[in-house]
Amino acid sequence: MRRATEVRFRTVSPHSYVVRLSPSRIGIGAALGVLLTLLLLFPAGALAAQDSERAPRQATDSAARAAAGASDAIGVWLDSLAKDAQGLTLERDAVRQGNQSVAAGERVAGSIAAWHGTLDIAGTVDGDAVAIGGDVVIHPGGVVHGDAFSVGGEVRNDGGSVDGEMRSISALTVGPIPTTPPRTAAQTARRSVSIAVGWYLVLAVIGLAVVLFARGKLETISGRIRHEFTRSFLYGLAGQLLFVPALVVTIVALAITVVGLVVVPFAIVGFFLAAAGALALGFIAMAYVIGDAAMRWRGAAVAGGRPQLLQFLLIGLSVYLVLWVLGGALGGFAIGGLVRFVVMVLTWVTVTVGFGATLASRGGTRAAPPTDFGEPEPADDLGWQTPTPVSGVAAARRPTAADRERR
Amino acid sequence: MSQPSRHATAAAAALFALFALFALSLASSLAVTGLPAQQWRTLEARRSLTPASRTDTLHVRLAYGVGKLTFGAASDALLYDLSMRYDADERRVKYHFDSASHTLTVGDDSGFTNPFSLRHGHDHSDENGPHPTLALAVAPGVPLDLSLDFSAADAVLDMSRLALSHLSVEAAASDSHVTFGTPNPGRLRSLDLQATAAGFDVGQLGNAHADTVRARATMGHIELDMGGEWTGSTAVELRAVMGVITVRVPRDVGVRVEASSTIGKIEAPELTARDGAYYSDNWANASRKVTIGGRAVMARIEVLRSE
Repeated sequence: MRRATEVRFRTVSPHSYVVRLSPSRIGIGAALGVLLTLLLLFPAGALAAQDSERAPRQATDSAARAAAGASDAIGVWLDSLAKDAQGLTLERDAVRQGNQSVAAGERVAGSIAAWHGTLDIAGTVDGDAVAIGGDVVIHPGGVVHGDAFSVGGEVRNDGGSVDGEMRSISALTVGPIPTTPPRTAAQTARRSVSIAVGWYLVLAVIGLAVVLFARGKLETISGRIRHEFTRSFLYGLAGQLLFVPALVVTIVALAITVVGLVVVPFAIVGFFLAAAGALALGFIAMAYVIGDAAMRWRGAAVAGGRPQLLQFLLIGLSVYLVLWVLGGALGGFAIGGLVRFVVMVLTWVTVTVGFGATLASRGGTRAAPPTDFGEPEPADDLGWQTPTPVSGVAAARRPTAADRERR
Repeated sequence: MSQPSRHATAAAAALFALFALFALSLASSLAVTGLPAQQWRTLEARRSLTPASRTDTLHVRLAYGVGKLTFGAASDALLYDLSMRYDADERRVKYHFDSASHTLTVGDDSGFTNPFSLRHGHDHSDENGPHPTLALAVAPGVPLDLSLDFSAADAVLDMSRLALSHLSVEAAASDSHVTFGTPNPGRLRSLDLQATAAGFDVGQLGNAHADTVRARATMGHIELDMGGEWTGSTAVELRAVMGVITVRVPRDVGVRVEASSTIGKIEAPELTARDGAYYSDNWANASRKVTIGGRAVMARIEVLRSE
């Protein structure tokens, strides 16, 4: 299973996917095809990773069973009994096979235990009375000065007395709680790659929905990012820093009134949902801008309809996929920490800029104002004239060829 | 159909296909990986009541996480009776009775071993499957110093027939019901209730015969019913932070409320405000009285009259 997984992950090389993806060769259908393939492989990869994590535990269990089978069964049980959370220590000599009884008038100086049988006590036991795989029954007149303990059965007091505790447990629970062993570098890398692919898929699905149903907003936010990158970043930074204070102020403002107090839980949920939506929309807009830039750089036509928008968006997201996969795959290497840090910073900058652009454009409803450094408007032939309320009075002289040369 | 709209239709179809595939993949992966290998165990432990243990104060310290918790009186012949069902893959039961100090300590070491695993969700979502439970009963009439601390649990605590001298209950993310069905034979010297993101209702609190009741709700709700048989005076100290505390006081009991609030509210609709406090009409003449003090921070304290 592990081997199959490795092969699968080698075939899903995000890097080669990005290189091959060009507008001239692959359309939306092909992009979706790749997406679907990844989608199908993601759970399989996750499953395989979990299976490989279970393997060491299963091996340990098998070894323990083999060891138990090889050694004396009663000895193993007594050892387990001592290690159990409520365990007690019994001498081997105290354990006898099958049903056991202490008759009235009889006295057992130490402890007594029945191995796969019932222990009937009508006399006196100075120590503990134990049944492993059977019941302990204390009859009238029976006395146990220690504990009465049954594993896999019950302790019944039919009129005797037990100075200690009457205890029964369905089975022994020995040793610490089984936990997942620490992951190896390969498992960590595999897990990171799975998470990266998972995020890519989630964002791709959200992106598809945005392109289909909120294309205008996406383009507005993208426009903001293109024209006001630095301002968007500062907006995003401010938004992140002011998130908690704004939430507290909102709650306090609502809590002043009785009606507002009722609305507080909804306001908190709404606040987080709005923030999550703004983050997602902003990130997708950033991915689109990056995809658009990448395609322009390769000489592709400028985005026109939805299909191309979608294509550029997927390409932009793929850039991040490559970064995340790279960060995850190099986790086990010395340089992995640095790569991860760089990838994290890049992703944070992307999220911040996208978030800021979303805030600045009020969720994509307000376009960026025209910039000061845009392309000059074509000159108007009569632009040099001073407008006059009444025709016939020109405030300036029309420039001549000599004037232009002088300038 | 024009070229762009055909593309849009195809993209929409692809989107839905993606959703469906994603849901299927997720469901299949959860079906395989989400089902834990559970090892359910039961533990029963009880100790007989001896003449000596009838008079010594029994100290009980119980900490529990995730499951159903019940607490009450045991049969007359037993000092304590403990019954637990638990998943051995998730927790180890720890309990200990120290006969010298007469202290019973019950807990498990790992209700939250895997806090984010699906196993805890599985415990509660599978209505037909086994659930973790803990039931503890202690000797009625034996002086009892009880401390309960539980998280993510449904707790039903019946204090009827018990002889409580101290009681402390801390509940987090839980739903708890406490009842004092019969009068406490002695005085309950301290009663501390704390609910954090939890719901907590206490019935017939008057039967507890508490000298002082302290209740604190943090993002939670506590409801105290002061009904029951009691005499003399009781002091109730409340503190609510982003929560609600409701106190229901029988009409024949005199009530005085002196509480403050910060962005919160003190509501006592049937009491009269004077000299910075709220008083019931029968405050001067009542044979039994309750004095309520406290503070509400972004919260509400209600004092209501009950029949």
